[in-house]
Amino acid sequence: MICRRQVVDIQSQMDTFKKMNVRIVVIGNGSPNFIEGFRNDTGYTGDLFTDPSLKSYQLLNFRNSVTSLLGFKTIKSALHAISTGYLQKGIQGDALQQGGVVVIDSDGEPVYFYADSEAGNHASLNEIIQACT
Amino acid sequence: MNIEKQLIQELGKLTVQDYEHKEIPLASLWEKQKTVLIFVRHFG
Repeated sequence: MICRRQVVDIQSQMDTFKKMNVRIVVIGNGSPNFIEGFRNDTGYTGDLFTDPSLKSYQLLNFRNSVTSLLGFKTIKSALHAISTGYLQKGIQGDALQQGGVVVIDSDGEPVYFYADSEAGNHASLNEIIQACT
Repeated sequence: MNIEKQLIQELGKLTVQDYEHKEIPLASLWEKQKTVLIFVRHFG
């Protein structure tokens, strides 16, 4: 629910990113077999990959613990996701692994970094767009 | 900004898989244009 909601939000701004000549890449951590289902569920049209090894998540130091799943924001986000129709079907990937966002320019320079602190806590779409301008 | 370019260089050496299980070097994703990498928790 929470993850799909984030990707649906990104999808709603795909034209904005295209105008800015920015490539959007979503990376999950389940089996590649779940990629197409995730695309169908979210309507996401951009690049979609997976890192089942979690090596990229580990390198970027994204959290992976039970405590990161707990917290008020998680409950609030879950309620929001449920109320807007994005129910989590089942976990395809590491349930304890958190994500985040990195914006990288074509010289390989990081221009924005955000590590989710708990489930349902994500980088703001406005901040990502700002980082791309 | 709280991560270094060096970390991005290390990241670029890793690979991700597409829906056909093909390995894609991460560095190839941002070599042509500014790129937003969104790491989601899972495909749930």
